[in-house]
Amino acid sequence: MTIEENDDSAVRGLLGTAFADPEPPLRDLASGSIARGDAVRRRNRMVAAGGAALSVVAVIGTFAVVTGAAPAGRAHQNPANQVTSAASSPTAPSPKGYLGFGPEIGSLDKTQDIRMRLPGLLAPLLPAGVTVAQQPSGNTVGFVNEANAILHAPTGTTAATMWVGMASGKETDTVIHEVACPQVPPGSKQGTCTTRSVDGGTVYLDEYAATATDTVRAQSLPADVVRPGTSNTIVSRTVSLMFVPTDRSKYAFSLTQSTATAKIQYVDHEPSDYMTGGVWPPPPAIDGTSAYDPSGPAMSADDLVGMLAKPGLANLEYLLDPRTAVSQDTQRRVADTKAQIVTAVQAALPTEVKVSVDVSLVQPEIMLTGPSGKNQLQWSVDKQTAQYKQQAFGGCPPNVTCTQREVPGGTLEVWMQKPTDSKLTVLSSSASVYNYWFVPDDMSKPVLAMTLETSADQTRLPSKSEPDPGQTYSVNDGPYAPPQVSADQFLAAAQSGQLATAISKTTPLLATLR
Amino acid sequence: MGSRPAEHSDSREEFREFAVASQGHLRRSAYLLCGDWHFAEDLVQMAFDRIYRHWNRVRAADNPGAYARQVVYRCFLDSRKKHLDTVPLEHLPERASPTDPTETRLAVMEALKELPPRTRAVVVLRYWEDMSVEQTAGILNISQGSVKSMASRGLGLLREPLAGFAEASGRAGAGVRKQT
Repeated sequence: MTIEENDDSAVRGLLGTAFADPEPPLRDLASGSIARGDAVRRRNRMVAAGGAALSVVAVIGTFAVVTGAAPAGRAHQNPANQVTSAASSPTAPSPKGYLGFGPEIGSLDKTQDIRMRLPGLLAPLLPAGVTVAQQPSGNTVGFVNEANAILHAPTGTTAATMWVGMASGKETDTVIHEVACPQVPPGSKQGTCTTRSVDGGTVYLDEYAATATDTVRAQSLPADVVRPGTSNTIVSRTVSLMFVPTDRSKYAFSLTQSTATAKIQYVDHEPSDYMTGGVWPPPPAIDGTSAYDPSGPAMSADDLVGMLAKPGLANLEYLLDPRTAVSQDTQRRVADTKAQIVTAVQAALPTEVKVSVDVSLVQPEIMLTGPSGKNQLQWSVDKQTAQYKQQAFGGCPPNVTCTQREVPGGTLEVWMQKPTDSKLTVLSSSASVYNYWFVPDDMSKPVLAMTLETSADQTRLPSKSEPDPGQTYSVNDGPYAPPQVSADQFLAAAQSGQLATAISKTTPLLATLR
Repeated sequence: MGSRPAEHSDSREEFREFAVASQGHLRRSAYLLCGDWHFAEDLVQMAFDRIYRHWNRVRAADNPGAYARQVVYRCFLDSRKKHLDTVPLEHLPERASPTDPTETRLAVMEALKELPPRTRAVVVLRYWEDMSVEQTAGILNISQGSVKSMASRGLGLLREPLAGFAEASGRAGAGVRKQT
């Protein structure tokens, strides 16, 4: 059977192979949601402003080191009772609005601001011998104030992630404990979650170590893949801190460090219960970082507590707050990148079309505004193969007008898709999505694709949105803006080479904003 | 006043039963979307957090499972908004051997990863979840025309890298049944 012969069953069979290997064990996901949901309900009664906190599980999952042996690590210094105050008191005006007790999604330029400025503000808080480097872009999952950095110590590197939030006075001890010590749930005998009373609040310290056996089990691998005698070797350590202020109107601060401390020693040959055909030795777990330091995380628990007494912490907390203003330098950088994108796009499009970059969404989007409305532009360069040409361009779905014509140097294919409701009834005489493809005759040249999407709110005409009976979503029944770039204009740009140039220029620029 | 705690307790237990029954399948779907078991679990957890906040309304719906699915997919798309929709051609992975089950799995996950997130969601909904075009459109809040074109384009983009795997998967995948 091939995909061509029977799309549904063939694709389903292929997708099913994703589960041919054992799945990691499922943990109880309900209890955490209930605890947080109940806490949010209570909090919402107290807080008039909207904006519920997002799940804290992103923190839990970010450095999901498995259960393990008792923690150890670096020698401790500076006892915690030297901490005087961790209360944040930035000199800038206090940010307004609701801030939840966990990572939150923020604007694109705020994310950029944090990424650019974090190392400079974190560095003064670090103990001697530890430096900080910027985390490469694209390594975050969308939570603006869950900032990442790489710490460098003389013996290795440590991944660090941090955020600020506000623990409402109604936040229960259970919820705070769950957020503060994600690796060590209440009642657990693995790892340690300790609390210290400090001036201004309470510090939670979560220290955790994972053995080789713990780690391979977390990857659903049999324990006998580990070389005998090394199963209890500690292979990774996590040390995290959360400060919860007594004055709950001030910032709660969270910083988690994690690093691999040893390589897992595998047996020479794959054991009989190892997955058939599996890669040997097993590839490293996907943990989003390659941090490695045999001495453990760069900072000890006491080092972390010591950070709280340093005046620079307030500046870091202020930066991490998703509600605070973006620096002028970052604004300039983002504006400059947007300007470069606009220039590159404009060079390939008709002069009557005004190009802009919308960063109000988390993902930057290229917008085209023409005489008759606004379109959202997406484009790409796709490798061309014989199969691609035959199969990807072979059909025409219902309610889509498909045309294809031979043009100098290749084929132009155009799809105009009309919006439909849940009964497949066409809602508008005009299309809402336009797809253009230029497929060169020369197979060595790539396919150029452009998609122009419109919606009713992108025209200058009145529109309406009605709930679809029985559904949880609304249908938008137009009217829709026409394409602001015609198929012939697309073709001219493709044949001239301007389109490929523009795509190649804008792709990396857009990537820097993501 | 006296009945409210009991009502809340019942509600919690109903939610717990629902979560326990649905989390396995939701996590599998999320894994197909993101290719990472940890993140898949996070997506399901995020979805459960949102669902529990509105549980009294969700439990009254005919099909809470459909709502949960919708939330997971939208959580995924929200979380992906910062990521590249496409990858440069020079980063396309090497083709794996079609005879090796694990390599087939890796090839499938790599091929899925190459799809733009929304197209990937359409493919998983249509061909893993068995959702109709209109159901898929409803879950992703996009037009049915977009579903059709994305499904068509998605399959087109999967064909080339998975050309040699489909036949083998017809046998290997036969034993893997979708959980409902």
